[in-house]
Amino acid sequence: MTVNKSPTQSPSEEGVELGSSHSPLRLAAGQFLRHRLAVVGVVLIALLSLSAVFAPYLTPYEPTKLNLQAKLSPPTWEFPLGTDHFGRDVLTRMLHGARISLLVGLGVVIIAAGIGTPLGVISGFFGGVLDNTIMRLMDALLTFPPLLLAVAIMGTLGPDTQNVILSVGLVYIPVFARLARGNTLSLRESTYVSASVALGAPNWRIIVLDVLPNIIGVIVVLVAVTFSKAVILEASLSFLGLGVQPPTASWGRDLNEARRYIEDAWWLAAFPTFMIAASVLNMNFIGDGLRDALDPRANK
Amino acid sequence: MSSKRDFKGTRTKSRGLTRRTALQSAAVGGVALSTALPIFNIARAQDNKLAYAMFGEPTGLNEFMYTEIHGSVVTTNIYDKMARINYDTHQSEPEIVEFKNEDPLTWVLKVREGVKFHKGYGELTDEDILYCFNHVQEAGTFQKGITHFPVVGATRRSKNVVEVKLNTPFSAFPMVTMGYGGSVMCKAAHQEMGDQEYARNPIGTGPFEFDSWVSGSHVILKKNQNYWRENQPYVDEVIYRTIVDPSVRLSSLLTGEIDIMPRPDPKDIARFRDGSEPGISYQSVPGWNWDYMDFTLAPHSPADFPTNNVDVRRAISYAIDRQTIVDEIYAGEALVTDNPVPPGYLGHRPSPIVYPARGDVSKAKELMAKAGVSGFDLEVITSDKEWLRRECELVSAMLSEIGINVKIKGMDAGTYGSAWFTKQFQADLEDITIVSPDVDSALWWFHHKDGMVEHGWQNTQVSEWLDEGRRELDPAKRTNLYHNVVDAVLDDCPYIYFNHVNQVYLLKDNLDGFKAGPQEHIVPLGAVRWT
Repeated sequence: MTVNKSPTQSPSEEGVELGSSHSPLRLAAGQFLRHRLAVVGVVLIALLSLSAVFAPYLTPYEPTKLNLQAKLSPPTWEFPLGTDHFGRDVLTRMLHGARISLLVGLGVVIIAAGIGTPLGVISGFFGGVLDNTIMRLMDALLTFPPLLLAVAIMGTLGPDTQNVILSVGLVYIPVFARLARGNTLSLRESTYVSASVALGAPNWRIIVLDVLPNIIGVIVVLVAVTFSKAVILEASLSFLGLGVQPPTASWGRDLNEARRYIEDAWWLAAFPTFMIAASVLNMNFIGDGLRDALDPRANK
Repeated sequence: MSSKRDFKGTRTKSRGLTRRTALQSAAVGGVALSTALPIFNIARAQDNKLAYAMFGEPTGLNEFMYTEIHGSVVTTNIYDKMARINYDTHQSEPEIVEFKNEDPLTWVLKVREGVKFHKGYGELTDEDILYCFNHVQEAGTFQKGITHFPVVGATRRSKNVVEVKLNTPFSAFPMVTMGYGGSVMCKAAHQEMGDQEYARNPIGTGPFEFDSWVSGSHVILKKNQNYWRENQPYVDEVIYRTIVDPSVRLSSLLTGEIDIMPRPDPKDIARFRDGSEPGISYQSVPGWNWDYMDFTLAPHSPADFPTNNVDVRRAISYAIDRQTIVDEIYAGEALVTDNPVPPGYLGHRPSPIVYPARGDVSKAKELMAKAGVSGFDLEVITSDKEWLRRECELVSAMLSEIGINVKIKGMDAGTYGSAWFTKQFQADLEDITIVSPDVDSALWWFHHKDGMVEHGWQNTQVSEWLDEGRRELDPAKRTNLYHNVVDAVLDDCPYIYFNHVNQVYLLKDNLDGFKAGPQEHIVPLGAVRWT
């Protein structure tokens, strides 16, 4: 038996043969680049990521170092975004806070997509008792509002950055599992999967070569959306005192502390709010762009 | 109703909401609201009711079970104590019993007559007092190890006269056993209900009787019509609202939703301190408490962990700038200290005895070098009190100067308490209210080798001094003993003390009879009235 190409491979390989300008990846990239807001989102998130990585070199201050002589200073040339109640530079804390937010966002999508997608694919592909068991468990998790579930998990694990990633990641596993299962169920009935089965291809091969490549587009879109939701959830947990612990810089935590000074020091609330809103908005733009580029049904 | 021109230019009537009607409505609504809020306030005064803001939710109202600050704030007004602390004299006074020390091991209590329990549970008798002592011993309630440890048992000597036998002389018996641990509860009601039910439906003899409790929202107490103190209580009802956030407490006070609030945010205090806020008065008294940091020592922590080295603990104490904590966290409403004995207590000495108020970082660095420790990670737990979390941030920055990387772990009150009592932590930053004006309460439980919250400091000599201090009745000799204890604590630093925090309250200025006390969990309201 030498025929082992799956039908999914055929069009792309044909595309390569016909000319690389028509490859699905190029088509998607072209579609994405036509989405101006998505491109702006990528640029700004890239800038934010670079600022977070090089934060220690961008400002002369440390995020946790006290400077009580300069406390509650409004924005000046010396402190472009002002200082907080302990005299800490707000710009420095915003940049270091970005590290936490982006780290949590990244960790969360790795956990949620890394566990939720295989669970959904296995559930949808094999069906039966396994499907019922996995999906009822997922349904049970989905019955809780995300913030409530994250708070409950944090209550058990204790407040810590790693635990924030773990708890928020667990919250979003069912979302990935349901999406992956739904797409796998429709793919399982497709002709090329039936052909692979008829040709005696092992299940793992069908899942890896036929199913996963065809659902990766919608998963990538969900990754972008989940990333932004994770940033909000991390900020919410830290705002409630359950997330990142002081004195570590965190947008949500700093926003909570800013409530005390809302009448006296507007900059303390304004900049964390702006950072959270801007990062979430830009991630959502990227998500929209990816959806347009990767989800053919959305294009229609 | 408004009018506008149609396309022909003729005026027509419109029922739509225009900008003018919206603005008019808003103006009328605003005026109505601004006038209504004081009316609500006046209405409560006219109805002779009082609203008090708690900064947390009580866990229960049964004094046979451990009650935290918020539960105690409520139970202060439900239960009478056998003996009440006089904050002015620093002495205990008879409340429900007259007492005398017949010999060092025998206390004789005479029960006040004519005192009635709430809700028709009858008159207080010696049976109830006996029950309060003997139930602690038989059921092993939390008081057994804390306040009733020297009690052998109580017996009836004659009608309404009770004899309490001790196994060792205990100089703080009136303050600790009959004061902090001496809430008078109803034998019949407690036996009928059991602990859990009694915690939600308490029966006492105090100025107010329990009416209702909506979890997470409020507790309502009604006037005890049969209260034994003449004319008290003055108000007909007290509603305790749970308002955790200090800024919400303050806005609730300013809008008339509540009448008395504890613990205003220190940053807001200045405007009330100078009297510039009309209608609100401010009370502040030195607190019987301390903010502190303590450590689990071997065997409760690995023997090679840096905080088991006394020089590291001393370095930490030198690195703390206590004055900055007082200024930045409490806006000056606290007193710097390096030891656990507040002013007014037997054996008090002005601070600093050893560690300077502004700290001494170079001395701290020397001690770290002497200990051979260049730096380490230290996890510090604290409870959910927001001011302590800020204090942790400040201390974290101070300790970073000597290479200690503090990792703060904030916990809810229950988890924190469990970790603290079971010694499951590296270091702890918290505050404690001292339960009696006797110096024993400030030292024994924390520094005796058998103390409930000693965390590994097994100092036999200190334990002997503390035991002797309990047995000794001569104040001069006790003073010497407690000086020895404090000197040893300052030398070894099992606990490091920062400050005594004032008890600050804001209240309506047309309230009379409220007197801020030095203990956060004791807030009597029987003498409070509207003027």
